[in-house]
Amino acid sequence: MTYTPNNTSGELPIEQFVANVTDAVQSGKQSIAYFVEKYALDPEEAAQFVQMIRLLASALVPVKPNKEFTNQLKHDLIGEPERTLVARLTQLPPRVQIAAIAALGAGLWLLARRRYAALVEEVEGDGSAEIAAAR
Amino acid sequence: MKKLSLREQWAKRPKSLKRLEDTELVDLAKAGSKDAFGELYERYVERIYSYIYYRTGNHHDAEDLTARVFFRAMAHIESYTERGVPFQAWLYRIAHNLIANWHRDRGRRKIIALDEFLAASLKSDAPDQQAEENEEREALLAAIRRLPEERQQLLLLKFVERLSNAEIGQLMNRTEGAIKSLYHRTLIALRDELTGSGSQRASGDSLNTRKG
Repeated sequence: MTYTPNNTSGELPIEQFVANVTDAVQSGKQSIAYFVEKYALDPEEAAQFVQMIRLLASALVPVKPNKEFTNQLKHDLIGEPERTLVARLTQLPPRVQIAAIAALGAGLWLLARRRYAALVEEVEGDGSAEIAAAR
Repeated sequence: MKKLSLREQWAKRPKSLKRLEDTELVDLAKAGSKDAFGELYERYVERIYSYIYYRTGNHHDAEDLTARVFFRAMAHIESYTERGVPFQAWLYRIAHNLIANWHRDRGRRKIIALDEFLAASLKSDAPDQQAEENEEREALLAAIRRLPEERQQLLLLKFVERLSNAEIGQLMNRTEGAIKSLYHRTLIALRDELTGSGSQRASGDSLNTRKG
């Protein structure tokens, strides 16, 4: 069978058909019948390609590596992860992070309050001493 | 090693790495951030492994070559510049070269891909229909193994890695149109292999009006 190239892209209709059908099979979203009609192909030949593409999609599936292997390789590549203060904090659960920030804030507030109180006392003390001296 | 300030620590915190683009991670990795390289590793290790596994046909060699890919990538990351080749494509190229060397060194270009995978699926208590499907799949994989290396690579990148034609083109140094054309010819060759006419024909190209 001889095909004529598509005027705009230079691709043969059958090439566009197999590319589109492959995307449709992989995404499972589009109708394959639509493409058969669109490219006006011989239904028998189109069916052969569709069957082949479906077979390929079901046979060639990703294979996952062993988790132990990937963890060990990562360790071999980069060693122990950098454990900075911020890194440690950000790895804590959100609730713990919020509690830690609240506790830190409360601590700072208490410290500031004590310091302010001491300062007021000192100023007041100095003031009363001055008044007493003036009298 | 220079101690990082709190501001720097915050800027380099692990969680933020997950949100970075590959190019940003590559820049950080070039600057010496092992965590950034670790993130790139996490993103691609499974895909690279899967690709190598199909090309070698066994887990042992897939693990060995996957490790070599990432060690080589880490050693040469400073020499990597994007220039139209995304980091992912760069990794696949390293993998492709290592696999080619592996085949050459061992003198076994025709490797039985997926034998373990098939064996595992065949071992299951398969009803007749499943046995038939497995047979069909085995025939298909055997036909794929008989294809030229370039066509095997194209099928794996398209179906296992689910890359687009444009991405495959970047990887294989071809235009998107050329990839579509090669894919079509590959399907024809595969069909001929499966129907038994592959041995009588040099390739499926004879059905085409174009060469490439």
